[in-house]
Amino acid sequence: MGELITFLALAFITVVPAVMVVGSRNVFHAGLWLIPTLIGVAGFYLTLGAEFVAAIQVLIYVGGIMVLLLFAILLTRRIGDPEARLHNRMQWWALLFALVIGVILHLSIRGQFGAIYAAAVPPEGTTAKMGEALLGPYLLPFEIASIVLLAAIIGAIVLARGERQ
Amino acid sequence: MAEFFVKLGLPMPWAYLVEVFIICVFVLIFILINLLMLIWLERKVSGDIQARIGPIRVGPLGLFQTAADALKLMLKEDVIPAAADKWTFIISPFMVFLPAMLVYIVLPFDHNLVPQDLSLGVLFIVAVGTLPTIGIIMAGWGSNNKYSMLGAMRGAAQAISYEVPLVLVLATVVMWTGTLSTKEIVEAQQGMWLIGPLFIGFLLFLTCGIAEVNRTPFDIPEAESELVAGFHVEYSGMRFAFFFMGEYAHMLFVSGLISALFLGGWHFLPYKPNLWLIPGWVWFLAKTYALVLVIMWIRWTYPRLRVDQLMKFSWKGLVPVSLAYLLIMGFVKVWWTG
Repeated sequence: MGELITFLALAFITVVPAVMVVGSRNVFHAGLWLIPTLIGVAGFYLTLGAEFVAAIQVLIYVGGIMVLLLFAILLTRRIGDPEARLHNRMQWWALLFALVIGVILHLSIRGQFGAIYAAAVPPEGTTAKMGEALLGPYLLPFEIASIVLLAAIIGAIVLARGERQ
Repeated sequence: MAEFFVKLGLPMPWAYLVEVFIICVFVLIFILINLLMLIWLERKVSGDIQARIGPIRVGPLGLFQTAADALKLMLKEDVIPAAADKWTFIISPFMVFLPAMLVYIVLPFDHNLVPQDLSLGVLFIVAVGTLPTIGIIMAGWGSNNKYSMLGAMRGAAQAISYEVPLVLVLATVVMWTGTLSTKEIVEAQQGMWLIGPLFIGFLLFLTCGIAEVNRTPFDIPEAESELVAGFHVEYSGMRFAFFFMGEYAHMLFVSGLISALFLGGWHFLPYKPNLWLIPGWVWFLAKTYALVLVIMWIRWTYPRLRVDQLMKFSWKGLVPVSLAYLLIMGFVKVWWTG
């Protein structure tokens, strides 16, 4: 019962602001509405016993990406101008694609993990285990991910520097 | 404490919620009492440094001046500029104050007095500690004022820049002690405070900590001489008070965190953890207030950095140094433990 109430409350915190992100007429407000959505997702991680992922979710998405996103929005012109059009006429196509992606995700996750249920009591010390896994069996994918980030950083620097005379 | 409520007949998640609520109330009371002290102290210290006497009229030594000011702020008219973005304007002071309050939950006052000893304590601090930046951006944009906007942009840029070395130093501390829990980090310092082996880390953390709470010499988000008051130009009355309290709560927290991470928390001296029967939180608070005095001393002694100097100092100075420091201390740690 308590689990259901928690889930519904978190779902409300996640979904309603997500709709507002898409529906808001003001870019800055749309950005702000993303915050409760991201925190709600962190709440889901918490209920699943993944505290580390929840903390990282808040740290990276709310503290890092959201701040950069709002910063970028502040640098654009005509924020909050009601005349500026934020929506195009593609909403039905968007809905169709969202549905298709949702069905694909649902099928693939069901096919992969359908029979596996989360343990009632999450294991102790998940953070240490995750660290050992990242630096042990999953070292190569972990490092490859950092190469992707490095390429992105170098690309950003090259773009920001522009042409040299 | 949750078991007590379960015995009273409350089902589990609700008992836990009641416990969290009670903890939050106690934390809030602690912060408010300390804020009254801190603001009085700041005025007295600044007065001393500038050869003035500071507040003396209200109460002995002017002790009740802050209470009188709080009353004044409460009675002030609540002004919301007509052109402001109303809800953004209203919510932003809470976005600054609430996270500054929430981080106190993992502060280890004594070995049996940690409001909530989370296994991810340090990570929790970093995650929640990033939220006030959003509050500052909201205030700057919501006020619809050029000075506010400039202050908010500077605030966001500064927070991002100084968060990187701060987290790197925290990672060094976590690597050295092998735990993320603030309580266990203090326990690991029995015999040797971390300021010994990690002295450079202590200096880096103090610098980044002062930058994170936006105090001089890092107070460019509100730089009075250039931006009037930065992101909170348009705020008055209680809404302004929330920004003000948030800043002081954050400063007290950073001091407390440094005394827990580097200065042995509740231990009296490295080789002598207890003195008579004096409880450990007395030492913790004494160290915290000593650091508060240092931060105030720095504020009233140094001028403000320029924006470009501030950015250069972080990205070309603190970030490479703290990155190299993390690497070097990793090797030292491996060599030390064999």
